[in-house]
Amino acid sequence: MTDARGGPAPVPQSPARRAWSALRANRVGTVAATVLVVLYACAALAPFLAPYGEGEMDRVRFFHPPTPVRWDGRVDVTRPTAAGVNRYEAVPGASAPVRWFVRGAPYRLLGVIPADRHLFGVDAPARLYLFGADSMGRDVFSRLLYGAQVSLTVGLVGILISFTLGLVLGGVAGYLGGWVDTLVMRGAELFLSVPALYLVVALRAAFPAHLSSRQVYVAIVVVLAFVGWASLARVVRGMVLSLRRAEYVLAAEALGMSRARVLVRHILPNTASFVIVAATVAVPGYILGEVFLSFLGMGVQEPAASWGNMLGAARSVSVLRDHPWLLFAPGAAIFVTVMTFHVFGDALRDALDPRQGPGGRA
Amino acid sequence: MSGPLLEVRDLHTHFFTEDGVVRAVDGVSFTLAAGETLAVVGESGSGKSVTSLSLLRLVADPPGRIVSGSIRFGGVELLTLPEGEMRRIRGRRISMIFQEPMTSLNPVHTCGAQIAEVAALHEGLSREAAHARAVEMLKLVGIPAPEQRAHEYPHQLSGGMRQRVMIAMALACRPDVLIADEPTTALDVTIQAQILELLARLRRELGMAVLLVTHDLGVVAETADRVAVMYAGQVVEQADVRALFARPAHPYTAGLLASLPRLGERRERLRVIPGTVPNPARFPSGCRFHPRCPVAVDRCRTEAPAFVELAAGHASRCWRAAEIAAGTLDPAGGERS
Amino acid sequence: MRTFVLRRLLEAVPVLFGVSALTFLLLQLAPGNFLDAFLENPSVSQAQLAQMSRNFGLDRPWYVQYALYVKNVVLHLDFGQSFSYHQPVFTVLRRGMGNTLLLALAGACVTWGLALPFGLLAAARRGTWVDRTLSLGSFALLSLPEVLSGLLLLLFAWRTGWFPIGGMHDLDHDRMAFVPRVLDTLHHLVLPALVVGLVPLASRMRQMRASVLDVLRLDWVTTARAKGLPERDVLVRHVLPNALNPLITLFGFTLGSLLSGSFVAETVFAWPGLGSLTLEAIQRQDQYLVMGAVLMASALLVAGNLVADLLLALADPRVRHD
Repeated sequence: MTDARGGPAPVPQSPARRAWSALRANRVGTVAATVLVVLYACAALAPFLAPYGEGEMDRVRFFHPPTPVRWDGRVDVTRPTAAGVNRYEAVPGASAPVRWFVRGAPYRLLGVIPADRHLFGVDAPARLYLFGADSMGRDVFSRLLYGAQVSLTVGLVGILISFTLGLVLGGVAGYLGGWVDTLVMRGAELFLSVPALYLVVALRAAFPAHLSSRQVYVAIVVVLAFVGWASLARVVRGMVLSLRRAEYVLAAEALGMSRARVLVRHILPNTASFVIVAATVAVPGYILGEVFLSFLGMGVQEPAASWGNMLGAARSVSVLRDHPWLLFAPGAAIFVTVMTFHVFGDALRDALDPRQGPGGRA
Repeated sequence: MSGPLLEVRDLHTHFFTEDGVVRAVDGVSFTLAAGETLAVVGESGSGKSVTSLSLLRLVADPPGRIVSGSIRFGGVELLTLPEGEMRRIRGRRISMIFQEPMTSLNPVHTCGAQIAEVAALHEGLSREAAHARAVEMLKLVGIPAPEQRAHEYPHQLSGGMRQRVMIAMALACRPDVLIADEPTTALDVTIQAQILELLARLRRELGMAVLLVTHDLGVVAETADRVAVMYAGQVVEQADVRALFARPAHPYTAGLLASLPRLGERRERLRVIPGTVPNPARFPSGCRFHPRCPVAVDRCRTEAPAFVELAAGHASRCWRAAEIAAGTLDPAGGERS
Repeated sequence: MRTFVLRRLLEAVPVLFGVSALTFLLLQLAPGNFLDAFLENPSVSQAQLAQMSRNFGLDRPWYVQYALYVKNVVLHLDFGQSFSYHQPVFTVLRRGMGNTLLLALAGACVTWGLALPFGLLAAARRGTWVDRTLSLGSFALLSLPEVLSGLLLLLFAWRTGWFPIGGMHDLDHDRMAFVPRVLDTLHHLVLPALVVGLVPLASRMRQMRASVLDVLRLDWVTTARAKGLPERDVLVRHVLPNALNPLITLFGFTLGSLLSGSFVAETVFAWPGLGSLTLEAIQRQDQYLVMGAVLMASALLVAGNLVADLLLALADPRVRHD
């Protein structure tokens, strides 16, 4: 008689391997992971993918609506009309082909390789505005790509710092107990008692208002990390508290291992799957933290681009009314990113925690 | 009324799970006459609880579904009844009590409210009348200080008291049939006896039929008129309680009886049926009992036996039932001398 | 029950002290001396400044300043003077706090008002297209951050003209009778409340669904069905009250995100609440107003958690009777 549940003998697998294969089996999760890779690749290759530079202005065509690419792969040349401010019309008979690997503004790819080729573009006087132009005639599509460099990485760096903090503080608090525990947990409670965005804004106010773009980046990361550590520390502490009585921990202690070693080698790795899921799910929050600060004008400053300050440019009703692409372009980028992280986090949770699988209960 | 009150014929209830189709109830037939007590006996996993839930069409769907068969109650086919009509049967004509009194009552409502709800629902009683009925029922099931108990929450009562509340709730509309699914399993032994006694008394007083689902043959002997023994989703033997205890005509029944400790009898060890209940997702071929049967022959492994009447009211699902009935075969194993 | 309330109230005190210390510290770290800005500001009277300096020890070291601040707050409910508003901070904040609370509660109504029925429905129709549509829809809303939904609704308001674009009142609000005045405010409240309420909706709905599914598995649900109750009554009368209990604790947690959500909605819709005040105060370097606002927001959060605890105690007869 064959056993339906039998199959080939199971190969012993590490938890990471098992999670990886579970994730691979989850179609939605795989798609989400692919989208994330593409998004970050776009950010890394922004100068090459963008037809124009981050601050490259067109001093004639402000608020130019998105230009359609014609069926023959050409783009009309446009000029302002007399009909009204920021209205444009096609110049009859004038058009330019969209070409691949065109020469344009020089840049350094990944910060090192000097280059001046762009994936695609059109020759002047035509201008390719896939997602339209902003108030200074800058290409929204290009700025979206440059902005991704800030908006997508701020979240990751912030998470890295705050989760390291949370893991260490929560771990130490749970493992050592006593006054260390009390101190850390009271601190965490304090940070959790201030509504997150109020804390973000108040923290940002502790930095000078005007900073260079690099300083702003650091400031935002520090602010977000500061706000985020507490909730994680609390949960890690709880897990460590229950793990420290586990037999393998007692065994390690009986073998004379130092407490730091026991914590790092035997306790914290067991919180890994939870921490990884929590981190993935938390990334959107960090991304939105930057978006909100920049939206308010307290984050990344013009002329540098970030999704937040691009959204901020669409704040006024008149802009929303006349140039809605300024809202839709960064809005869609944010929506897709946040959604993808949520979907990916969900898939990761299913992969790492078989108990909460989608069809968990028969 | 002519004919049985409740007639179940060839009932199939299956569960459609990720691991395949579980045929929890697979061709069950029995009848229940007005006023009588029929015991449905079987080990856990034999399908007896699913059978009782199927009678009220309360099997969770998904994953479970009544696939085929017929349940006639007072001449009316229940399986094709519209849901609204079916609801008018539940709790009014056929009631049910469950195994776990600790979890069968809603923790956020008072006991009285939960009893009154049935009466208000089916008899359209006013709030006061329904409450009065609840108190009356609590008194009927022997709960002291019923007026006060009616205002208490389930967690404030003991297990035995809760089971009494359950019974009061089930009987609030004087149903024709009470389905009692292992009503005493979760209770202490002394409380068990009290509850069984209560059920017997109420049956006499109210004249209802009782379908008693249990795994305890001791309970059966005390309370039942007739017995249906279930194994692997089927009824394997049905008989009058005396006939069954005196002359079991199925090796499984014989095995169950042999595993009962008997007064005045000294034995080296209790006999148990070897093996375990088969996985309902993968029943054995032929007779489902053959892997555990001490008297199985080749035919049992390949062909499923039919449910055959041996004497009036005594039927068995066994190829060798005739030999057992004739007394030439000891169903517990070995030829009789 | 009374000791429980008292204990929780006492526990809140050190937390609020801590928050005030934290904010104070942050603002001390902020660059520049905020007094300078006002010394040169002709609209601030020297007498006012002198009184403030004396009461709050502005020329003393920071720890003395903090001690004086705490003393003034505790003893006189004096949060200092807002220089940009020429009013005591408390007066300015009281208005903002009411508005923020109104917005946050309206947001909570949106969240829970939708999450409960939809979660119940999704659980009752588990695995059907209804369930899947609801979960997909809530997922999309989850991915629509407040900044974005705010701007989209602003665009919607302008395109349709059905709702005012920002603010809390119409211009002639003060001349209205009571009922139109309330309606006017509600009219302004709808869109910001949606912004606040829609983001947490997805997770609340998911929790509600899970909670209902947990309850549906319990024996007494079968008991209720065996009574002959219609499925709707089973769900509403028997399942719902039990499914709510675990969610009530979440209410406190939600308040934090509601307050953060209000912050965004306030800035997008120019709703005059604590969030807008905080921003304004930071931009104008109105230090005591910033401190007061953050402290108030935290107080709201702490109070919300307290209320959640009390609600839980009230909702569950097992807790209530102990």
